[in-house]
Amino acid sequence: MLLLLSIFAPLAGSMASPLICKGSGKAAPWLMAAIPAIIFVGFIWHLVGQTDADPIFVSLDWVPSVNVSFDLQLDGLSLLFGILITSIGTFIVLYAGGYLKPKDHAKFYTYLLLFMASMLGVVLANNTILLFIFWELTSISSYLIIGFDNEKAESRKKALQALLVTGLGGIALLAGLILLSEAAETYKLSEIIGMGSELASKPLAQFALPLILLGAFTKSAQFPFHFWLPNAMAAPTPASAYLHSATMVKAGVFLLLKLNPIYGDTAFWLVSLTAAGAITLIYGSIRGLFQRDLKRILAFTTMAVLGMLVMLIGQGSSMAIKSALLFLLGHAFYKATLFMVAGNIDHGTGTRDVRILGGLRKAMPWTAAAAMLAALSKGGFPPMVGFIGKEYVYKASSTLDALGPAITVTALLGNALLLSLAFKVGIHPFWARATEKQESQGWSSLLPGQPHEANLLMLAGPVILAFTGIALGVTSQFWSVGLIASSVSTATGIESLSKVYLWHGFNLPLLLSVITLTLGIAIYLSRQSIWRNESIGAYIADRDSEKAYDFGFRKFIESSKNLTAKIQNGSLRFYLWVILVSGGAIIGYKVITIGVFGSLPEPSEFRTIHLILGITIVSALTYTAFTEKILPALASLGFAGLGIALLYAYFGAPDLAITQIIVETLSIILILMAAIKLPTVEKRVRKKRRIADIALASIFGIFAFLLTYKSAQLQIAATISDQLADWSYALAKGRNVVNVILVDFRALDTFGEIIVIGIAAIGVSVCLDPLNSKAEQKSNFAPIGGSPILNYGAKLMLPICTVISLALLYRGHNEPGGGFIGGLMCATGLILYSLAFGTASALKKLKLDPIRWIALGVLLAIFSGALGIVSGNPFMTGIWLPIFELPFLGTIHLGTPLLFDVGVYFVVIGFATQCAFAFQTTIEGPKSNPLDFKKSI
Amino acid sequence: MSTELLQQIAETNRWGAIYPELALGILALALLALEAVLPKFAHGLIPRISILGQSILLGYILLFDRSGCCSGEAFGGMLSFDGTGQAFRILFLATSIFVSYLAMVSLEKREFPRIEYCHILLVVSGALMLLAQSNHFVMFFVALETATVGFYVLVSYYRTSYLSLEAGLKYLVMGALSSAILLFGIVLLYGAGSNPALEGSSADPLNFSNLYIFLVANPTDMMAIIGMLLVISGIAFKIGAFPFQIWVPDVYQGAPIPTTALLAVGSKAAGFAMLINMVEVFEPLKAWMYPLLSGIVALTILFGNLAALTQRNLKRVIGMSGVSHAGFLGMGVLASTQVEWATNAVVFYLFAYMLASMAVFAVMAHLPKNDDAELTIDDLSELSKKNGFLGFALAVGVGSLAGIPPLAGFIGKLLIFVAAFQAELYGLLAVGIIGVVISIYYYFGIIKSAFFEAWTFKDEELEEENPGVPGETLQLFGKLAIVVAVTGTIILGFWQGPIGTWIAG
Repeated sequence: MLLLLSIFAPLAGSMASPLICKGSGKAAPWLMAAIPAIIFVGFIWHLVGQTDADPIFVSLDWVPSVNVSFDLQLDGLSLLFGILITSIGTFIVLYAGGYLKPKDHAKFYTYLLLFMASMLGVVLANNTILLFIFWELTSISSYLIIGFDNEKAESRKKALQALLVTGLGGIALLAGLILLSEAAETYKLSEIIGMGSELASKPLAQFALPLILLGAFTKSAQFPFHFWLPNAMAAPTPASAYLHSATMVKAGVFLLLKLNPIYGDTAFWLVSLTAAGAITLIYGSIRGLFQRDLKRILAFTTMAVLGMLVMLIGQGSSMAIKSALLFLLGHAFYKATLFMVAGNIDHGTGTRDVRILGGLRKAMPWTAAAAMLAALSKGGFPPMVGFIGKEYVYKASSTLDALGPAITVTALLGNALLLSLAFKVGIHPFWARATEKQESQGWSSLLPGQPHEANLLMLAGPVILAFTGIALGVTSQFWSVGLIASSVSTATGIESLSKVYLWHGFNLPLLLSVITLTLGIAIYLSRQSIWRNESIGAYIADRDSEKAYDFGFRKFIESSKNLTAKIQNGSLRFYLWVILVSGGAIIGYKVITIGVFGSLPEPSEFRTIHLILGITIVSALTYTAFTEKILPALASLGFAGLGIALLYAYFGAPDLAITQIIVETLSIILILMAAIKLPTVEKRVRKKRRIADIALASIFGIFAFLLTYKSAQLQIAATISDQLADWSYALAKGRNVVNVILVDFRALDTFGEIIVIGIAAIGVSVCLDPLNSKAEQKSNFAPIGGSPILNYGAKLMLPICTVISLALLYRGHNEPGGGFIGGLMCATGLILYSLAFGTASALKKLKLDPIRWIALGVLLAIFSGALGIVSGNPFMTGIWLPIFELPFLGTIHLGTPLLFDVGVYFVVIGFATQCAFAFQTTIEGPKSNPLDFKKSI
Repeated sequence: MSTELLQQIAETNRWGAIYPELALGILALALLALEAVLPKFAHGLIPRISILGQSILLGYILLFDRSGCCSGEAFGGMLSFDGTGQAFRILFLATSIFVSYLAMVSLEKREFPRIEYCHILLVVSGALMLLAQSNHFVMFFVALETATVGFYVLVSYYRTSYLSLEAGLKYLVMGALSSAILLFGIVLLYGAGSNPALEGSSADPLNFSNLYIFLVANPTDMMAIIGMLLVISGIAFKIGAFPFQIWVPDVYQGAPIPTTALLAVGSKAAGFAMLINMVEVFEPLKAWMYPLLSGIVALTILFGNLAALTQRNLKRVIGMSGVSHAGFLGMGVLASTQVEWATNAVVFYLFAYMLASMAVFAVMAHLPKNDDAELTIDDLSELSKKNGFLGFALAVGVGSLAGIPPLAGFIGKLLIFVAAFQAELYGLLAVGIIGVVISIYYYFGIIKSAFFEAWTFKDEELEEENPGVPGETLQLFGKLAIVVAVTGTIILGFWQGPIGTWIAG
């Protein structure tokens, strides 16, 4: 119950924050603070009432298919972190109430409580995936918090940087956690950790380790991923205080502590943690020396402390873990205090530049007291909790074997630097005496604001937390078993019950402490000379890994821009190229790797006529491709079409040949009409492009040729054409198989097709015909043609075409021809006529509107089919009249299929003329302004 | 012709099994009839009737027919019904409802007729449903072309806008090319599979089961392999996989918002329905298919994310991010060859993607700018302040697309990643993870713009031209649609219930 409450209560608070803040006004901070406070009480209750060290569990189903469930657990370590998160969280909420303008409260609390809920989720999660989810949620909610002062572009940029760095680590962590879970064959964190160091020997778990460390190091700002942390101080102060003390950056440390039982004994763990931690500790504190901004100094000390913690965890011994936990505890309280102090100074004076601050103790007595206590704790003076932490660090490092001396020296140096930094933030602004220049001009005149003490909300946090620092130090032996010892048990896997004491007598750690204090104070006193040498700091900062990040980031964005601009350039021609080339490459790869085409069939017998036709077609098409003018190109294209028609005729497909000729003619006419509308182009394409086009076309041509050639070798299963040919006369009384299929065997299909054609014609008339085919209005339009040859030719051709078309229609059932070809023939004559005399005159010749011809044709087709029903057979069954003879015309054999063919004939006429006329009317201008045909081509 | 054979085939016609498609067809015709019958002032009702009709159909399917009323083949082996097919039906129907709603909003803004749009949309949706359940290349191609031809019209629907017309032309030319590639592949498969000299050939090699039998017997047949490669390329065009993603940004940008949504969700999902089928059919050719698919998937994830990174135009961002989603989905399809439940993970991902995308598109439709091809990320600035409801919907939608836990998009990605892990696709997983990291940048760019107040230069004159407030067009209907998409995204993240059990198989 406590566990669910501790996640869902802040979540609910986060959602309800706008309502609460609107409704309660000034009481809002107190109401919001009650949420973490209640959870805190719950945790303490649990701590006090806890009789045994066994963790408690909660489990709800979530995504059962991949073993993700909502598992929570509360063990020693989670309890310690939970108490930190909620106790400090309570004061942060209050502090934010005083620090931010009331209008910002609702939004800030929404983000802050969301962050709190996800942070509690991280420490309580007992499922690896769940852990990752909360981990990512802390990244995202901290993004919202850091970018809160979002009117500053800098603030937004830094927020995104933090998100990207920790997000990258988070995703690596997910991969690592999945690997680890698969290695352990369970997603339950407690079970995984229960397996202990045995698990670390599995290869999957070994792969997982670097990924998990990447996650932990980015989150805990270890070198070289540290740079986002100092930048994240762009956040409003309450948020910084929270992120740096108890949460966010501590998540990485938490994870390391949690996984210590598994990996603690591996060499990789020891080396990487020690190295990263030591470098971060020294580097962070040295960078801190050169800063002037209070918050930046604090950010670098956070980094240094994290380095110390990671270094200690790397040692893995029970004492090292204990010292790390104590150090962490101390740090949480003093860091939160110091940040709030920095916020108060900023609030009171309007600046955070430590060099122009000084002597504030009179104006801000409470803040000064809190700062003093926190700085002493941070500096490691007894009896603060910070002192205990430092003592245990030395205690732990002096008990280590191999690395002991090195760790001791590093820790000593780090602690001394931290002390000097603590004094710089906590002592200097309040106690420093003015320089001569400041003396002469007066303190306050140099500050942007008149120094004044902060209000109650902003004092509650720093003062209470600072005093907690002392209280914890003095009473350490009472709480340490419940809080620290049980956490040590969790983090080492070994039961631990030892207490923590403030005073250990005179021993090596104490001596080291004394050295630290002396050294630290010495560094503090020489602060003026360090500031004078700021260039050293700048020199180091210039070589920070952030530069590498910035450079990489900029290059990355640039390359993305270039890539997109190059590939997605908007040119259709290029796009088609990409598709063709990729398609070609995929096939080409296949062809190259497994041989070309196997055996190719033997070429058939070769005749001269093949050669002649082949050369004709190829040369005509080559001319089409290379000529710059449209008319010759069209003419040669038509020529090639005729050649193909002859080829059909030669190979015994007269039907196909006739259709080809007519379709060729019509399509050339159509292209011609479109060409009029095209702008004249001087030079169509560049030469390089040309060559590339030719290459691509040739490759595809050769490929298509080979494939077609190869398929001649195929034996398709027994074709139905022979059988259809047998049936043709026997069943349908027709010798032209193609026509029989169209009008008899598959008449229903044809019927469907003519209806589609009809609908298409209506579409064309709606879209293209501006005047909706009113013949009278069109008569005002000038015809396109005008040459006498065309006029006479058209007049002559119209009757000839019509007669031939009728003959084609009639003989279609037995000889080449049929309704389709006939219809096209007739339409060709009409279209030619319309070119010469205008669409209006052609329409007059047509008598009926094209659409009506289509309707008539469809009706005829239905009628012919219905006759089949009348005779008691299915729709479209052919019925034939007895054969009779007529003079001149010979044998006449009439039947419903012929009637059906007439229907097709009408539809085709209607369709072809409708399309052509509609198109033409868009070109024909009014008579007053006739179109100059020659000029426009 | 022998009537027995015809009758035999006719007996396998199970019209009842395709009632959703028939219902959509009838509804489509009814809309046209209503336009003719109803008086002009009542025409505004017709899109609503369309949405209502589809919603009733969806409700019926969800209540009584979740797992599909029928299974097995029908219509002479043209169609085959199973649970996955039914899931796709639900997906397409839901998509269609959302798109109808988007059309209602955005076409009204531009004063374009909406009834034809709804009509074509219904036909396209029906065709997509049939496509997902086709079991024969003839059905496959006919359904595909029915949908694609509809798309040509829908893309260039804003016929007064040059960008829309350009998009339509580009989609037409490139779509025709890809259809040709696909068809060529089918023809080669037909040629290879009907060769009586080879073992396993049949008279009907375009039936998926027959083709599978043939491929098992002839896994190294040259023509079949080339045919397979061409078919996969054709499908890669539909799903927008690299390098066939080339059409995506321009077409997405020019098309009206509802069409972009339909392309992004419906067309992509249909592509994956095809791909899931094809991966099964071509399983015997895996030596050729898996390397090809893996390469395509890896490049798609990388390119999609890289290209989305610097786009400012909203529809282009969504388009390029959609490319990367296609990559993740492709990873799931590849995993499904080893891990059975991965197919269901892909379907779940598609549902999550659909809900999230619809939320984003719905927000876009309610932005004040009239010309939706020109919407940029900057147009979202301060959205959360101007209209909190839309801001929240955008955040949930974009968050889910980015895979932010615990939204549905995250669960989808998680399922696919775990499936890929179990299928031992480690290389692809690494690429996927890089892709996710990159995507954080641009998704958060959108959120940044909507939530953080950027200081912008405010010109007095420009101020007067201020087109309006986002969400002015928002009515009860629209709120409902957005609420459904958003709550769906959130709920599917927390609780999968029966869907979860279904995924686990």
